[in-house]
Amino acid sequence: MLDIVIKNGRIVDGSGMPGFVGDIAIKAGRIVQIGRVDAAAERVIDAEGKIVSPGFIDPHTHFDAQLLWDGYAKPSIEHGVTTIVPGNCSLSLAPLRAEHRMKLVGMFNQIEEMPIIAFEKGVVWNWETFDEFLQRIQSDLSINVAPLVGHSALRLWVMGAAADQRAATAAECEQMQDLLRSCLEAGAVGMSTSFVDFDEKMQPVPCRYASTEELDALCATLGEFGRIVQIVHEFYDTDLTIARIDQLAELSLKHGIPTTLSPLFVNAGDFDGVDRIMARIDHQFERGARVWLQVQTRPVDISFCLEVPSLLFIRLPSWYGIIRFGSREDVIAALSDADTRAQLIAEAASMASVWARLRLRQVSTEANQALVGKTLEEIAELRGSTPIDVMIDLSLEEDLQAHFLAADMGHNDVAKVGELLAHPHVHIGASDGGAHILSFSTFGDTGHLFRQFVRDSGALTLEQAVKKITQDTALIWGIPERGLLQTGYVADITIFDAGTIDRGPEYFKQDVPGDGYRYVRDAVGIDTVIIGGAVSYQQDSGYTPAKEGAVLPGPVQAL
Amino acid sequence: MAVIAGAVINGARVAAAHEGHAELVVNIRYSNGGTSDVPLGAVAAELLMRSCNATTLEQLEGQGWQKVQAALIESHNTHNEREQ
Repeated sequence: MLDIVIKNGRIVDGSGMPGFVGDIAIKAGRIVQIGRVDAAAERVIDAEGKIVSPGFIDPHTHFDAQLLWDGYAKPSIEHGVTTIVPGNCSLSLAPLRAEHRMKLVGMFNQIEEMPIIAFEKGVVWNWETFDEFLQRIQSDLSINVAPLVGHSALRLWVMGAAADQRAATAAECEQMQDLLRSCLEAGAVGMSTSFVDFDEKMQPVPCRYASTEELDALCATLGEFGRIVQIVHEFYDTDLTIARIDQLAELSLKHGIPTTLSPLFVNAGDFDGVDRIMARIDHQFERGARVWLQVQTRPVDISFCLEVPSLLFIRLPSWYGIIRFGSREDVIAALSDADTRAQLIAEAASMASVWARLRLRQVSTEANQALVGKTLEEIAELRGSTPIDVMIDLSLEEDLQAHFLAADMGHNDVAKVGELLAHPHVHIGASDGGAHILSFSTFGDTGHLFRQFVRDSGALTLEQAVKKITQDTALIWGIPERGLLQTGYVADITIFDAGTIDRGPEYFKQDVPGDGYRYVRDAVGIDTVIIGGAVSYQQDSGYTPAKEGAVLPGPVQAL
Repeated sequence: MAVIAGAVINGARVAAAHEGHAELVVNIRYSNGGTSDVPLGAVAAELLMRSCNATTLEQLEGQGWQKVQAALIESHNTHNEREQ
């Protein structure tokens, strides 16, 4: 008796080959047959009209803390994601000595905007080593986790307070190598480092004090296992990005390791820079190096409220002067004064298109809750007003705490971003899942990929898009037996509707320990998600109690 | 050194930063014709505008790169003072 049979779906297997109609049989957590399956099964899932693909893999996340209270890494699974990679950007929660806990919490708070209260309320600190951390999360995993070791965490463990003061000595480098080796043996997928991040005191994070020799030594240890290094490069500067590409290429060739850098944004008016970067990536692949550039699918939004000065107003001198230099009372007085208000509205006319599509994100009064999620144009229609008047009125009604979202303000050239996403040397990722939770939602990038770049713009075929976020990711990261629908592989499977898959609207949700909130998006068009052969999520009934998630690649020995 | 000494602000634009805030991206032009973007947060941008006596972004054009550097350093120090 089979455990599950998925019947009559269109199988897009992750290889990039054309999809075909067929059945998939699952037993004991693995795919045992693909084609026509007539044998009896405990459960039959009708997938007629749906796409059946490998589970999606999200290679750039910061779910490290969330996994301690939520083994689903919600809402990743409902977006079709079956494997996540936490520990990016030099930050992991292990290895971590007890005396360094608050230092690392401070870095998570500063860099990834994880609220400190979430750590206080949601985390029982009962580990120090990487192995202990994996044991701590493993018993409760619904999603697969391929954890990176953070370079800053390695430095803190070995160097203590000196970690963010100086380069390591040769002896300390050796200790870090031994420590990294133990993490890789315990199941880490690789190591992360950063060249740009700051800690809670606005000082460079510990890994930024590393010498090139230190990074080289750690990459030599990664090479013993053939494991990946992830870096955050100077993504705002084309020339520095190219220099990092060259540096990674040398590390890749010398140690035989894959490397990845993230993120790359497409800035308006700077396509030349993007083209230069891609030409360098192509050149390094031609040499035989593996330097995977991560590009995110979603555009970048700007959020603001009038209580805090935003550079969005810097082209409007009267507005900027009041918001930047006035006290709260001054701002309220200016917006309330009829003459000043008229002058501000006249000046704002030059940005009328921006105001009209601003979306109301968050308010505190009950009276305006129903307006959250609407554009100012929609609210203006309801109120018989104009968008800019609505922005002012809502700000006054909410004591300047009305939060607005200017969507699609960056990384928003669909043609150029689509061209990049389809590039064979571009790795789709950089979602930042689980981070920046009070600024924007990091969920639903895969739905956005299918809606925007497959269905709407046609930059990628369905098969290409599936391959990019399944088999390609598994191969780049060395995640075994995943990313492909193939007999003998682990049954991580996402069933979705190609005609509707998308990300839902962003909203504020209270589900963080300490009664905290975060921005999330629901999934659209995801029917069923199977992880390790067990149904973990279904659109109609939600999450199941299944706990078949695994740590990947799992414990290994060096060659 | 001559190349750096001659570097000036070529232009500036508001952009969406990775973290969801607006930032000011200042384009620097070097005397050899090369250009480079430098992103400034809200505090550094304001310091730059003030030190250049600029009320519009266009008025930043032609200003020396040292003013950008000074704004970045001062904004960093401002943060540290706030922390203390």
